[in-house]
Amino acid sequence: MNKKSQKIETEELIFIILNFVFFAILLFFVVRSGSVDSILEEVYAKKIALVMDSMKPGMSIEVKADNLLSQIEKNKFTRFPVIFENNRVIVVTSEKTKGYSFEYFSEGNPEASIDNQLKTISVKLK
Amino acid sequence: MKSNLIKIKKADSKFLSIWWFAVIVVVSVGIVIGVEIFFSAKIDVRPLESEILADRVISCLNDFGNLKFSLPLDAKTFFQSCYLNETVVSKSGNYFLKIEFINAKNLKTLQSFVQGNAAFEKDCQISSGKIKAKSFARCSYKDFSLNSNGEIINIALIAGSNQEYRIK
Repeated sequence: MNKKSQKIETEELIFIILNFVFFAILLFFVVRSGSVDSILEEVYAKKIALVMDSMKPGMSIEVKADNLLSQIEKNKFTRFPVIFENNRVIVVTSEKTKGYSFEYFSEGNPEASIDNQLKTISVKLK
Repeated sequence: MKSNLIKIKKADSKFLSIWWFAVIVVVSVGIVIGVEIFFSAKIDVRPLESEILADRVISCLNDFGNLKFSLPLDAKTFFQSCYLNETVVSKSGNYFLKIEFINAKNLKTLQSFVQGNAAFEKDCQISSGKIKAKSFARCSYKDFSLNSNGEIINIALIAGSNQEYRIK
């Protein structure tokens, strides 16, 4: 009797552990889907482009970029992630991706710099 | 009696495990599909872009309640003094700008300044109605008045954007 109840308990325990494993895998999948390179590239390209749209020459705006900069660090990506080309902002997070580009309509020469301590991207329009 | 109970319990647990497996499969497929649909959707910034463009134009035309430019408005002067890129706004096909200058006294249209993709005007009328066409441009409508040489000028502004995304 003792052996049987012990067996049932072990089965239940395995069942509970497997349930936890299953939900952990699902949670990992959801979190990972939200932080993939392509999504971050799109989000930050659009954010920076909209910031540029509302800027006039001589202005400087800082954009908080914790997720983007951590992802770049994680990917060990050494190139500068923000490129300005033909009135377009291009954000690249790794060697594997092509990057995401978005057009802005402000006139001027843009410049971007990264503050790794504050985890911000500073955009200047000259 | 006891052995019967154990048998029933065992059968139950087997029955439950098959159903539980089916539930797990259905839940995981549902979550995967949901997440994929959610994250593959484009981030639509067109309403924001059109709003920013309209605000830029208003702050450029307005000089402490007076119209900054003399009419008729010249495109080159307008883009230069508003710090807007003429090529992007007028020629990229992603933007639309219409500024109508109307004399407040006789309601006569003094000038209709149109730049960019003119087809957006009709598209915006459709997309701002009941039918939400996904690929149609989104526009921002602003009406305001400014002084110009002692006359009040009503300005009807439409700024539109249909830039969804660009991949390098």
